[in-house]
Amino acid sequence: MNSSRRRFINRSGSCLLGASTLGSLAAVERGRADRNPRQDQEDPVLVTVYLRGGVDSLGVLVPYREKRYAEIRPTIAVPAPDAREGRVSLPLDGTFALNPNMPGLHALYEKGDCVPVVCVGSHHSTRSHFDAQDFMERGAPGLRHVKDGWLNRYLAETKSKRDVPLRALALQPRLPRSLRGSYPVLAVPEQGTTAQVMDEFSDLFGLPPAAEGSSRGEGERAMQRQIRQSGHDTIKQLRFLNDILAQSEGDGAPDYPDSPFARRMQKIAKVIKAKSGLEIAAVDYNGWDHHVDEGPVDGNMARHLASVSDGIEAFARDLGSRMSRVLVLVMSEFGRTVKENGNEGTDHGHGGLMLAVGGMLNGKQVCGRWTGLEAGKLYEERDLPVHTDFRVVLAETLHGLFGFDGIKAGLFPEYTPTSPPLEFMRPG
Amino acid sequence: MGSDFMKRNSDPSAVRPADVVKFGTILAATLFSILGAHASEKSTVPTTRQQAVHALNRLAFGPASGDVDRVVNVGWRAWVEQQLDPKSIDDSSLERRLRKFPSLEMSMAQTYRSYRPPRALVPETSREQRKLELEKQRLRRGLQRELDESVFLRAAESRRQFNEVIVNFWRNHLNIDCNKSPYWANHYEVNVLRKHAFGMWEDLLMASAKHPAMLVYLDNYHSKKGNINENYARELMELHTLGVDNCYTQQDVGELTRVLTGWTCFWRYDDDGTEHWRFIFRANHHDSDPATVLGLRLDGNGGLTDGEMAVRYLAHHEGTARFLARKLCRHLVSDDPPEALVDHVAAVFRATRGDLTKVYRAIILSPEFMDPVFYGSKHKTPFEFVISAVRATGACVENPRRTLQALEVMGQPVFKCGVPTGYSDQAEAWLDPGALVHRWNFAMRFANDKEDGVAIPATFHERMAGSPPVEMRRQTIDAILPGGPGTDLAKSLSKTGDPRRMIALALGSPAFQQQ
Repeated sequence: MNSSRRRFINRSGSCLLGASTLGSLAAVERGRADRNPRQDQEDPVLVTVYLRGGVDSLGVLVPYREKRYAEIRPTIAVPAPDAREGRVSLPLDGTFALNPNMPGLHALYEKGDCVPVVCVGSHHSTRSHFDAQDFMERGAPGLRHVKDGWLNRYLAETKSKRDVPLRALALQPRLPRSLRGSYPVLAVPEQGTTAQVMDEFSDLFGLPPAAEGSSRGEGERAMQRQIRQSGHDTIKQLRFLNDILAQSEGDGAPDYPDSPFARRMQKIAKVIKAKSGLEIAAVDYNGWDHHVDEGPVDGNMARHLASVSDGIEAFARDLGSRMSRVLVLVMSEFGRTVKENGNEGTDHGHGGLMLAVGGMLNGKQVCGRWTGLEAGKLYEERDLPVHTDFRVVLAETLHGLFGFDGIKAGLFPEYTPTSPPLEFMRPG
Repeated sequence: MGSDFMKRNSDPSAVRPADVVKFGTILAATLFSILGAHASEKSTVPTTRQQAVHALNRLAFGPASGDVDRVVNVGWRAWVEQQLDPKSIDDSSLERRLRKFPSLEMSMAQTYRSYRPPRALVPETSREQRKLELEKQRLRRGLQRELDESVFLRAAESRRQFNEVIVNFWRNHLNIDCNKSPYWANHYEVNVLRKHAFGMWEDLLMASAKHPAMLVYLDNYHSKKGNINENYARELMELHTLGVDNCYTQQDVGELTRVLTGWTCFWRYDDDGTEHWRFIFRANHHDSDPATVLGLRLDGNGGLTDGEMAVRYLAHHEGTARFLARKLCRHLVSDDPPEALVDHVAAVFRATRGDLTKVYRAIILSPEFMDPVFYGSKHKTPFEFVISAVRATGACVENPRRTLQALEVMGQPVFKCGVPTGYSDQAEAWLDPGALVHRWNFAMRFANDKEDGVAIPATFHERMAGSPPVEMRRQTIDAILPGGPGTDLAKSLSKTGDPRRMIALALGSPAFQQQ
C-alpha cells in the first residue's frame, strides 16, 4: 500500500483543519462519510485541462442535423459527416459529430472512454473571460468573496499529516486559479532546476521564520511569512518532483506529438506512473478567443483542437490500463455566439462544452440536454443556453474519482444542485 | 491596524471623503489648497531612512546606490514633488543611451517602412518567398527588441523613477500584446502611455482608444455596421473604465459596440510613395442608429463625435473614478487598500476631472501612504524584482536580452501579456510555490556575472574583495537591503566568505522580494 492510499484511509482529526474555510465540521464529516476507495485499485488522478478564451462549442461538437447550423455560420460551419465536400466531421451519437481534427478523441469515444457534455456552464450572465474563469475555477459564480479554487478547497478539506509532498501539480509558470488557496501546490514550468540552487536557499526558506524584530510593521511581517512559506513549499515539493522525474528517465514511453501541451501531458503521465500519490494535475491552454478567422476546419482553432486531441490520445495510450482510474476533464469558461460575427469568428457566448476522458465513464454518449439552435431556444437569442451547471460535473468528478461528496461538504458555496445529475461516470 | 486608522482619520489636516461629499461641488482649487497646506505643514519633519526606503520601493524601482541618503537629505516629500514633475529632472544621460533605439522616435508610417523588407522585393520562387519571410521576421524581432530593451533600460536607469513606475502601471491597465499588434507597440508606448501619464485621464484613454495598436489588439478595427465585433467595447467598460462590478449590461456593451463601429486604422501609399498609418473614422462602416450607453443618449447623427462623447462619458463616470482610485492605491499603497483612502482618491479624481498628477499626489501624500504598517507589505512582481536587483547592485545594462528571457520564464515578458487585464500587481498572482525558483536562478546567475549584458560592475566586487567577511556582509546588506535584513539573512551570509554568494543570497532572500 503506498503512502497516499494510507493517507486516504487513515483520515484523522488533523484533516479537520481545513474545515473552518467551509463551514461546520459536521458538513465535512458528511462529505467524507461517502469516501470509500476500493483497496484493489490504483490511486485515482484528476487532470484538468482549461482551454482559456472561451471555446466555440459549435465548432467542436457539431450539431450537424440542425438546419440553421450552416445558415448562421456561412464561413465557419464544420461539414456534416455525410457532406460531399470538405473535411467532414466524425459522427458521434446521431445528433452530434466531432470536429475532423480530433480523430484521437473520436477513437476514445468509440471505445467508450470519452464523453462530451453539451450546454454546460455557469448560469451567471457574465461574458467577461476573467470573471467567467474565476467564477468557474473557484466553483462560486458571482461570489467575489470566495478567493480560493475549488480544487484547492478539496485538497485543504482532505489534508492530513500523511499527505505526500505532491498531491497536486501544475507544470507551468503560474498556478491556475482552481489550485490557488491555502493548500500549497507546486507550479513549475518545463525547465528543471538544479538541486544546487535549492540547497543554496534552503536555509533562508527552509526554516520557520525567525521571530523578527518587533520593530517591523505588521504588513511586512505578514508578507514575509507568506514568502517564506512559499519558498519552503517550493523546495520540499520540487525536490520530490525532481526525484520522481530522475527515476523515471528512460522508461519506454510512447511517442507524444511535439507540442507544449503534449509535453506537459507526458510529464504528468510520468509523475502518475511513478506512483507518487499525485491526485490532481492542472494544465492551462491559452488561445481560444477566436473573434477573427476562427478556422475550425483548417485554421487557427483547427490546429489547437488537433493539439488537444493528439495530446490526450497519446497520454491515454501512455497510461494504458492505468486510465481506469485517471480522468482528464477538459473545460472552458463559456461558449461563443451561435452566429458567426463579421470577421469569420465568434464573440463571447454563454453555454459551452466539457470533455471527459477516462476509463471509468458511462461511454458512447453525449451528455447534457440539447434544445437546438432555433432563436427562441437560445440564451438571449444569441448563445447556447446552460442546461447543466458546471458544478454538477465537478461534483460528480470528485465523487466518482475520490469518493468525496463535495455537495455535502459544502465545497461549492451557496450552491444547491438544480440541474439533474449527468451520471457520466460509472459508479466506482 | 483599525484603531490606528481611526486615529489618523481624525487628523484635522487630512481631507476626507466626508468633507468632499459635504461640499459637493467644491472647487478643485480649494481642494488643493487644503491638500497643499496639509503637505507643507509636515514637510519640516525630518525624513527617516525607513521612510526614504519605503518611498524608493514604491515610487521607484527600489533604491540605487546613494538614493536613500539623497531622499533623506532633501526630505521625502520634496523628493516626491520632483518626481511628480518628471520634466524638471535632468535625464539626458539616459536619453543619449536611448538613441540606439531609433523606432522610439518614429511615426507609425516610418516604423512600417523601416522594419519591413522593401516593397519592391517581390519574390518569384518559393525559396525567395521563404527568404523574404525570414527577413520580415528578423526585422520585426529587432523592432520588438528595441521596445523591450528600452523599457528595461528606462526602468533601471531613468532618474525620473516615478515616471517609469506609473508608466508601467498604465502599460498594464491599457495593455496591448506585441504579438498581436507588432508594428505599433513602440509608437503606442511613447505616444499614448508616456505622453499622457502625467496629463488628463480623458486624453490618455482617448489616445489609447484611437491608437492602431489598441484597435488591432482588441479587434475594433474591423467592427462594422451589421458585422460588429464587441471585444473592445466590452474591455473598454470592464477593464479600462468602470470595472467589472459596475452594473453595465450586455445591452450597454452592444450599444457601445455600435457607437464605435467605423473606428479603425488605415494605411495607404500615395502616388509619391508616402505612406500613411493612422486612426480613421469610416462613416460608411458606422452604425448611425440612435444608441443609449449607460443612460447617455446619442442620436446617431454625430458619427465620430458620438463615439468620442461615449469614451469621454465613460472616462468621467463616477464608477471609473472609484475603479481607478482603487487600482492606483493597490499599486502604490497596499494589495488591500483602506476604503477611506480609496474614497478620498476617488473624490480627488472626480474633483480634478482626472488630472493624473493630482491624483498621484493625493495618494502619495495621504497619511496612509507612509503608514509603517504598509512598509514591505507588497510583493515585488518579477519585473520589479529584476529591475530592483539591477539598481541595487548598480549593474550596467548593455544588452538585457538574456535577462528579458529570464522575465519570460518568471511569467512576465515585457509587452507580451496575452490577456487584456495586463499583469497583476498583487502578491497572490505571483506567490505560487515554484515561482521563487526562477528568482533564485536569476540571483545566482546575476551575482556570478552570467547574465550577459547586465553585469554588476567590477568596482562593486572590488570594494568587497579586500574586506574581511564582516565588512563584506555589511556592504552587501547596505547595498541590497538598506531597510535592514532579517536575522536569518545575516546568519546565512555569515556562512560564506564569497562576496558573489552573499549577493545571490541577499537578492534571493525573502526580504528582497518585498517592497
